[in-house]
Amino acid sequence: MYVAGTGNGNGIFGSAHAVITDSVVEAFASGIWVDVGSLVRGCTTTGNSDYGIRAGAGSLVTANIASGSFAGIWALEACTVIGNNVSANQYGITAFTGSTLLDNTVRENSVIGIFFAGGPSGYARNVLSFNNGADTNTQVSAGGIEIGTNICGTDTVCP
Amino acid sequence: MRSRQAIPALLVVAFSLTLPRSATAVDGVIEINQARALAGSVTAGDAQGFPVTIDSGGSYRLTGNLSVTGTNGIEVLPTTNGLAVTLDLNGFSITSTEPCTCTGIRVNGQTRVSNGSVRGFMHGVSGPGELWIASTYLAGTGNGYGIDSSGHAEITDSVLEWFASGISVVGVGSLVRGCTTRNNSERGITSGANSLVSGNTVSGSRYAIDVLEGSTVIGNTVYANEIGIVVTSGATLLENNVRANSGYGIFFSGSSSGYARNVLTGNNAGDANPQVTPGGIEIGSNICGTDTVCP
Repeated sequence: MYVAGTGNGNGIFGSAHAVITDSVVEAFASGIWVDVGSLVRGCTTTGNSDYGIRAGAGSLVTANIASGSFAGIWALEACTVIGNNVSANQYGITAFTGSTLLDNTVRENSVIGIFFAGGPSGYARNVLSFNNGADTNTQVSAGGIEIGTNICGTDTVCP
Repeated sequence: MRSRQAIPALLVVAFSLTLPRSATAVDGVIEINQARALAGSVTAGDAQGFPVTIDSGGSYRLTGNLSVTGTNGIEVLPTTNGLAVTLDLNGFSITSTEPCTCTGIRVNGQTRVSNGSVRGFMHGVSGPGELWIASTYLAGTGNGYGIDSSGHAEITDSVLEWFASGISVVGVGSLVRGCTTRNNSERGITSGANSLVSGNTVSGSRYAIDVLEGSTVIGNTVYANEIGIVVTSGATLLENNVRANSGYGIFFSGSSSGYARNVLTGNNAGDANPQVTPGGIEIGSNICGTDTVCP
């Protein structure tokens, strides 16, 4: 499905246990907004001013492309965020307590690549580059626990 | 004696016969076949013969094969109503009957193409428009581009062969998923920055997969090319099977790219030779030749 907005509202709004796949959503305030236990897979969100993908607690967010938002992916507690390409947002991925972040490519987000909010979350095999203005600046906030190697800038020292 | 009431009705019929008619629309879908292409008026701006010109957004469907000689098959223009064009090939083909420097489907606006074949043109689907292609077979003549888009593009579940470049989607954030490209002489898949390239099978090219910075390359099978996967800065390469490419399996240019769980064998003239160039950072184990020492 292709959904284009006028700069406000939600592109796709799902309540709990929503399943959103293979869609393109652009030019809303929030591209895809789903509540607890949802699946967002294979979608592209571009130019949504607030959130590209906002996922409720316990959701699976995988294989999406998210760019041009305040927050590319905003994942509430205990989400699994795998294999996404997140670029050119202000915040790349924001993850709340107990989330798992794997295999994501996170680049050129102006504030930070991954922002951990709340308690600890785990992350591994993510490649973060050129976020926060340069490879030499902080790519990921404190609060995450490395459960495998990540690239932060030009090396594997995170945050 | 003819009634007065019948006269206006007859006038309407007579007048409508003098107007140019667009192609038949069924349930809002405009049908295209060889006869209608030759007759013209598929849309308001469509002249007789090829190319079929689509200048109004909406849904179009082939109801027969199109056979084209010496020109483009279909041209999608910026639409007069501002809507996207959806073109369902409906299992049919658009075929060029002779070699030409022309394009099967030329796009200049937001366009979706699915479910059919485009054969024998120099370029398959090409143009600056935003592009979605699914479940389509494209075969070229040894040169040109199979799919060429400078805008955002999403290409899925399609097969491309016998072009110089199979899929070239240089728009930022493009998606190439589930495609097969084979025997495209120069490049199999080329994608722009921050793209996602996953689940494809690529063989028979000089450069199999070539992605710009910040791209994600996951789960592809890449074999029998010269160079397997070429990445610039900030890319993520995971779970690719890269085998029997005559040069490097993975070529890293730039910095900050990571790779894990890739299996590289028989590249660069044998398992004993380097399978990947320096410059990548291992974020998990890879197999390079017969062990996990990379490069």
